Formats: sequence, structure tokens, C-alpha cells
Amino acid sequence: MHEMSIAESLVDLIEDEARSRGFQRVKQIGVKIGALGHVEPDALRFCFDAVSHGTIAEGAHLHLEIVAGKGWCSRCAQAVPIAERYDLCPQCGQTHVKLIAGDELRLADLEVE
Amino acid sequence: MCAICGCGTASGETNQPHSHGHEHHEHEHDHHHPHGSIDSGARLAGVHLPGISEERIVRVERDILSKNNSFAGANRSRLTKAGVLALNLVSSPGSGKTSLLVQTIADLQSRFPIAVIEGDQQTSNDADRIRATGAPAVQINTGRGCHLDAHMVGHALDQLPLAPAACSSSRMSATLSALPRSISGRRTRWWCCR
Repeated sequence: MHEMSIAESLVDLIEDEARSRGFQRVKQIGVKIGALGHVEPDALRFCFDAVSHGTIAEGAHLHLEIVAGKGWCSRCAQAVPIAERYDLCPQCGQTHVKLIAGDELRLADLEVE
Repeated sequence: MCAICGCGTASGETNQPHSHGHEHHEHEHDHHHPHGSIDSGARLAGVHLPGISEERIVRVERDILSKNNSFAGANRSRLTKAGVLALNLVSSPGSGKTSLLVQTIADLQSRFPIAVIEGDQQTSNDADRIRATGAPAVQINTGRGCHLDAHMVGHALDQLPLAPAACSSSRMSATLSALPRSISGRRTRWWCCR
């Protein structure tokens, strides 16, 4: 259940933005989650609802955008889709695929008042 | 200043009431410039759009774990300065992390000073097992969650004797990790060799 602490970090980040940018209410929250990042979207929603209670983010709609896994194959010299960490390159079968997307956990944007 | 029409830019920021004759302001929403201040500062994007008079879209693009990462960075630098090699053992409950540590300490503690940070939801049973070997151990009880973060590890380090490496262990004075990038829900053992 590490989503609880991730939800707490998310609310901290939003409150930090509210202080520095001067908004009073958050209506929508856009978060990017890597498909290979070990964060369960439903668990994060559940935890966010609990943690945001009584904060500036209470009642805000949480949009979770899942970012697909992508790796860079040095042999093919191009980005390739991957379904798991340490996947082989689906084109050449080489092992050296470097993860370049799908590991993010980022607060992307907010709709505020 | 309105970022679309640029009103308020000429002859300094206008602090006087002014009317808009240009076309895109001929819509119904109230057009209140907070005169006396710069509008683009109050409204993040500095943009007035019909129908979106008060709501703002704020681009943030910040890593949610950035705070944790900064604590983790501080831990890494602290360990590096102290000449401590830190290893992070993560695996399923009951798989033998503490047993492995107990045996390893028994085999190596005459050659290296070793200390352990134990992370568990409850009880200090595992730390007690480590202490029985003679090595110092700190227990972190995570309580209702199983989450163990870099801030907790920093406090645990406060309680350990982190002196610079004295002898052969100095060859090993590298810090491998102060916290895994993705925080695991599994149980964690920290193992510090000085």
C-alpha cells in the first residue's frame, strides 16, 4: 500500500503549488503514471480520496494518464514498446533495451480557481 | 497585462480603468484586471479566454517523489562522506533477509564494522536478532502502512555510529543506494558496513 504515501506526497505538492502560485481551490488534477512504475491506479484513487480530505485538493477529480512502457534499443537505434522491465527488444531480440518511458510518477497539471 | 491582447503593456502597466475596443474582449465574462498589480502574475497563464474567466490550467510537471528523492540524495551524500557502503535488501516477508544478515554479520564483523536498519510494520524482533550478534541495529516501525521512505532512513542514520572507514573496508567505501527509486511495499533491511 505505498500508494498512501504517494497520495500524501501528491497533496503536499499541490499545497506547495497553491502557496507559490496563489490559488484557493483545485478542480482537476492530472497525474502521469508509468505503466511499469508499480503504482496501482485504483489504489492511488482510493488513497487520494482519503488523504485529500480537509485539504485544498478535497473533491478534486483525479485524472490518471497511464504512460506506456518504452525502451531504446541500441542495435535497432530506435524506441520500441515494452510490456515489462528488462524486456528484450521486440524487433531484434537483443537484451539491451534501456527504459525511456513508463517509469514516471508526475503531477502534470492542475485546473484551479 | 493580458497575454493575449497585451493591454497594460504600453506606457507602463495601466493603473487606470480602461475599456477594450478590440474584438476578442467583446464577450460576456467580466473582465476585471486587478489594476495596481500585473495581471499575468495573478492569473498564471496570463490569458483571458471566454468562458474560462476564473479557472486556470496550471502546468506543473513535478515528480511526485521529488521530496523523497531530495531526502534520499542527502542520505547518499552523508553515507558517501562517512565512507559507508550501504546495501538495501528488499524481498518478501519471511524470505530470509534477517537470517542472511545474521549469518553474514557472524562471518564478517571481525573484518568490518556492520550496522543494520530494520524496517517492519511492528515489533523489534528482527532488530533484536541483529543486536544479539553484537552489531548495532535500529528498528523502524512503519505502523499501519508498510511504507519506508528516505526521511525515515535519515532519522535511523542519526542513531547509528557513522564514522569514516578505518581499515580494509575503505576499499568498499561506496554508497550503492540510499533508497530504491520506486518505493517498494515489501519489507526492507538496510545494511551498513563502515
